[in-house]
Amino acid sequence: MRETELKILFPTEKLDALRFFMGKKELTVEQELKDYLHKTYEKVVPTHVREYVESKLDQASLQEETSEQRAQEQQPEPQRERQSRQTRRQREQAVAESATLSSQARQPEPPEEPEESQGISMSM
Amino acid sequence: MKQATLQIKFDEEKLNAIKQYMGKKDADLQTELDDVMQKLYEKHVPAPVREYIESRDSRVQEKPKRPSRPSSTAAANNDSNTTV
Repeated sequence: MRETELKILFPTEKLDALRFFMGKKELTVEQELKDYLHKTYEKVVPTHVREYVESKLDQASLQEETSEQRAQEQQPEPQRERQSRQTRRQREQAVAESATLSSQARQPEPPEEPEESQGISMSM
Repeated sequence: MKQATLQIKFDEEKLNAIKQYMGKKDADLQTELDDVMQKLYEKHVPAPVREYIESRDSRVQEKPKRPSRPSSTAAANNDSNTTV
């Protein structure tokens, strides 16, 4: 959707006062002017012309959306990289966890060794 | 009084349609927007504040109208010359 800029000249001192008192009511000059433009558009432009103009705008917005989607599809690699990084992290975590588990599993081993040696000695 | 510029973004196609159909009714969008600004000013800014701003503005406009010194002294010299 193409937008154009409208410029309006207004005395600085008056504009400051207007902004101040509108701000108290949580209103902005720009928004009021936009509302006026929307109202005059609906009042002055015939219904059929509005329908046509808005259909053109819809088409333009659809084209923009599709072009954005294409642009996103053309750049999927950074996401994959992120995913692979996540899997790497997951792998690293998994490796760390397995290491701790194996160390815990190994801890009860030392008491077994004397038993084996005893067994050996017994057999002797 | 110094003029400030207000900028509003609006859809180009819609704006062109407004201008076209306002032109058919011999109306001008720019003058209409100026009217809207004046109405907003009168609606939201209280009357005493408006009077204060306008009186200040008139004072500022009056100030530079003072005559410059060299011309007044020259005039005084001329007067003294004529009286003597």
